[in-house]
Amino acid sequence: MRALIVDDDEFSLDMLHNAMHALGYEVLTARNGCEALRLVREHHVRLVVTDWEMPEMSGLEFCRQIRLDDPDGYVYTIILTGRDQPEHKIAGLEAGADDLLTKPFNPAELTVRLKVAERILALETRDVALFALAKLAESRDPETGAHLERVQAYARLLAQTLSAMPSPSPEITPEFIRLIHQTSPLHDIGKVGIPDAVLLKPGKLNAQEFAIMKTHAELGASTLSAALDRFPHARFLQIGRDIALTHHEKFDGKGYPRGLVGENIPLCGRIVAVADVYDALTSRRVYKPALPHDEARAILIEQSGQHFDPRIVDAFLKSEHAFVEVRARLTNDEVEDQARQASFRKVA
Amino acid sequence: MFVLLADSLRIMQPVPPFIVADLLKRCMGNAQFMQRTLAKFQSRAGDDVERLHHSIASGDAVEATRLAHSIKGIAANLSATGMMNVADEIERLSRASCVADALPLMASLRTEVDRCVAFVPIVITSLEPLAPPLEGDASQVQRTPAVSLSEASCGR
Repeated sequence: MRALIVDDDEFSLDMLHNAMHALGYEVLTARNGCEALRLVREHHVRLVVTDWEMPEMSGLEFCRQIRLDDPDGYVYTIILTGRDQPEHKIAGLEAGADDLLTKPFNPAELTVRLKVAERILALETRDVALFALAKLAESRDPETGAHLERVQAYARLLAQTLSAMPSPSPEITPEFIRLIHQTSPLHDIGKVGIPDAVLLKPGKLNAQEFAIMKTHAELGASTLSAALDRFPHARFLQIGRDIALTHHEKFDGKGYPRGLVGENIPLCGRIVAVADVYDALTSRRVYKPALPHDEARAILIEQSGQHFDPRIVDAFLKSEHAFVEVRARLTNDEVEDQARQASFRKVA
Repeated sequence: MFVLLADSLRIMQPVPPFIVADLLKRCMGNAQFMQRTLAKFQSRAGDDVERLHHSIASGDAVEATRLAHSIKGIAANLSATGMMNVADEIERLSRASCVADALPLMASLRTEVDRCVAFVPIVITSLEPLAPPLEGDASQVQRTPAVSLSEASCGR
């Protein structure tokens, strides 16, 4: 596994580098938090051991930045420090560290703490399974291409932007941002229960077909509720269920399946509504061309307060350049065309 | 192996300034790496102490805190308790912007660092059965300290 160690003192850095290399890690090193943050972003680092006291950016600030950045994979962070009072441990953990280790490190303790880190990181395969499940549902839909990946990225962008706006909802914590990123791909999981004749129809749906299509929200939520019965405290399942159930609700109460109004719609559902619609508008369908960003933007603004929570539309406007970048990065028309053609052949 | 090494060093020096067995464990039993680490310590210890002295003498509390913290970290890695305790006290005083009060402690720090530096060649020699002589880095290891830090800093 690749690990990053961060310490401004060369002596300490060498000692830890030698120890972690001996334990089988591929080790990257950084001398301060800024350099470390760049390495985390560029090298998909999953495990970090950092000093607390460093110039430019302290170990605490570095941990906070990692949590705010919320990289694609979870980054397990251990602070190595001479500070061993309870208040130091609280400050470290509150900043987003997963563990604190006393300096100078004890090799046996370092070894077992790193094993704990590996066990926690292994749990992330859960996220891979979640995504695979969502992809399975999506694989029946020829229209979607990289839709899940884009909605996932847009939802995270919106949550991050909301967290940085004045008076953010207390619900928007780094954990919420991570969970909405993990679970937003489940929004259409109920489509697995929609008949082919409706789901794969190459054109607009009639009223009866649309009524069937609308059941995907309840279908998805009930699937995840069944899992929640077994693991009632699993936050990711709760958020996944809320997203599946409410991402077609509208702020003015005219959405489905329950006609919830305003903030009665869970925040995660309101966020994914904007992410999902923006992606649908800017994607090509057999019955419509892809709209350019500016036209999609105008529709979102027009629907602010009706379909969408105005605050989330504001967050969209604050981060729209990032939306355009995500769209450019996660668009692969050729792959999408091939998928579409293959599916149509199958239907025919 | 660690116990035997520690025993032999105890015979040579009644109260070793750092705990070799701890250091070797922290080096994951890699005697060559430990030699290189000690050589690095030997080559930088004098400069570190002089820079700390300068920052304290010039009243630069921030730099003094940083340097004392760094020396304390090195001492902790070496398991050099005496050196670590003095560096810790200097760091505490500097952090509290009482750098003037830290100045009298510099003599004690030099003494502790001198003891550690003087002990390095003894440890290196005792490690030779465990690790072949270093190439390249070997030249950096001073088998006997050329000038002790206390002597070097006389009259400052």
